[in-house]
Amino acid sequence: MKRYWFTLFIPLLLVSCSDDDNDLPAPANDPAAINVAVSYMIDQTPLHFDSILYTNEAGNNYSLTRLQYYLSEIDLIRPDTTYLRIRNYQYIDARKIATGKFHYTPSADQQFIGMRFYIGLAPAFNISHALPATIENIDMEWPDQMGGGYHFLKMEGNFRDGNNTYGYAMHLGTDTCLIPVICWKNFTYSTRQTITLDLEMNINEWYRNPAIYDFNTDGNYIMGIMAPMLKLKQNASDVFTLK
Amino acid sequence: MKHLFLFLISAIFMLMTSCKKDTDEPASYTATQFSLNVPQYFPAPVIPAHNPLTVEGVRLGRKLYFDPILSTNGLSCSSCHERAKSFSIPTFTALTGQVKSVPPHVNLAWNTDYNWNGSEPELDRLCLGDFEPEFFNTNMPLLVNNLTQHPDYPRLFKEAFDINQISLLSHDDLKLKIVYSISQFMRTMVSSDSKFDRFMRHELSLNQQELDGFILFTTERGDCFHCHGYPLMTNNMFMNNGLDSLPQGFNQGRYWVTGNPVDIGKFSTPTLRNIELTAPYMHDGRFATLEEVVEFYNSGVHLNSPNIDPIMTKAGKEFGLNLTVAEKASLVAFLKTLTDTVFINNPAFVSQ
Repeated sequence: MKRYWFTLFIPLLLVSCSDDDNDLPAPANDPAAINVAVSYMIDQTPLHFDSILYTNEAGNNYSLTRLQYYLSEIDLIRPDTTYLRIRNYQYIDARKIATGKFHYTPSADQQFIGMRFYIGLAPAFNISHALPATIENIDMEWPDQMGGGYHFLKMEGNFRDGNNTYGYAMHLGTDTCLIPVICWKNFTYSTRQTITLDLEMNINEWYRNPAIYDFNTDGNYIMGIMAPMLKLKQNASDVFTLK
Repeated sequence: MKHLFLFLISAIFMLMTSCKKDTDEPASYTATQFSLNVPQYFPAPVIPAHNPLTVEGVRLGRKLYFDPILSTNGLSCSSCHERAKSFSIPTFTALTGQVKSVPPHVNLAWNTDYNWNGSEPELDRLCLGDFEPEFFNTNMPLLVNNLTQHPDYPRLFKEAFDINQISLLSHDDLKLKIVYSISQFMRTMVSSDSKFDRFMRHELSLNQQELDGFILFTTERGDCFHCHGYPLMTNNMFMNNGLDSLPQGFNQGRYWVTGNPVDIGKFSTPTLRNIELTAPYMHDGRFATLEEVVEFYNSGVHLNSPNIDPIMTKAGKEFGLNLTVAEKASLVAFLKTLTDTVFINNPAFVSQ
């Protein structure tokens, strides 16, 4: 009997002095999560910055030098059309892969049929200085003189017209240009297994369907000019695919 | 059963005492945390874990910043970073003969890179180059001796970094502690009280010309805000603003650091805070006045410069901004509202 009690106590003594940090659950025991990772394609070609490699529907040969934007009110859609909010907003800089990765941990097993979100900031967030004053958020501010709030999108680069190269800057902002997106995909979340959703942006979709966008005729610098901003907006509902 | 009871009592006692901290160990030294007074509309400053701001570290850094003890030629940091010029001087000529504009020491706590081409990513190592012959021409054995014999420095190093004997540090470690403390001091050099700051806080009004300049600055007409947004007045990015059609040498900018051709002509966007005090302008000081700078953006941008930022080449800018004389004057008037006399007269930023 004595030997029995002693045997019980040894492990107790061994673990009793461990650091508090070590008492945290090991990563392997973390609850399974839903990871979202944003990626970029130009039709079948992966995005490479700074080279005029791509051609849009209008025939403009173009490059990207910058792609920064917000997604907001990111919800997963259940089969009964109720929603699970997984993110209020997310700032993404395509040059910084980590900014396009986020996760959520639901509390129970459940099924989903897709994801909905806005490209841009929903009105609740699109108020001057409403977001935390990070360097990134400050860089995205939309001047009060032009309506206030934040840039929803900064997509910039160069395009070739004949022998000449010009810059373009597709800047979207103001509540009117908020872009609702729904991506359909059936998947089941289990608290026992992390899953990763690849949210892929096809950049050429900004420039087609339903309207072909041509830098030469529609404008290569559009901030605050409603017609080209709305043309981009109407094209943008299918720029993302959930895989 | 009696033995079992005694064993349990002993075991419980062991459990209760086994986690007790060893009080015989000397307590590790901790300097006093320094609270940086920053307006809430500023981003969080970039303060690395390996060099936290402390009262004692800032105190040491402040003393060293103004002290020629670091050099053999009578120079101190403040020799090339004069308070009246927002802790800058007009230009510096490198040993190579290259003339460079000296960046001011203002709001460095928010920079994410240092030097015009971003050659140094960390403020805490930025000043290491100042020990070289080109700047302080430091004699390390002499410096160690001078610091050791000094009436204040042994105590200041002890208080800042728990260094009991300066002479026991390697020269590299001593340099690192010196630049760490100077970096801490430089992080406290915060400008947030210019006329424009006070306007944004609704504490005063701008006059009509300044207001006109502000509107030009923050709308498409002038389009300055994309790179110089409030409150930092920089976007912390590398950009080519079209200074040269064929950049050569130092004018190739960021390319010198990365070797990547897409970086030719790109420079770190400077803050416009206290810009009135920091003439001449651009990385090589090619423009003597703010009027020349505005005229450059108005009519002098080289649109064929390699890697010129797309913002600089938008439609309608082919022939410049076409600003009127009055608009150019308004922009300059607005830029002068970024002068922070409270900052340059702050008694915390003078020699103690």
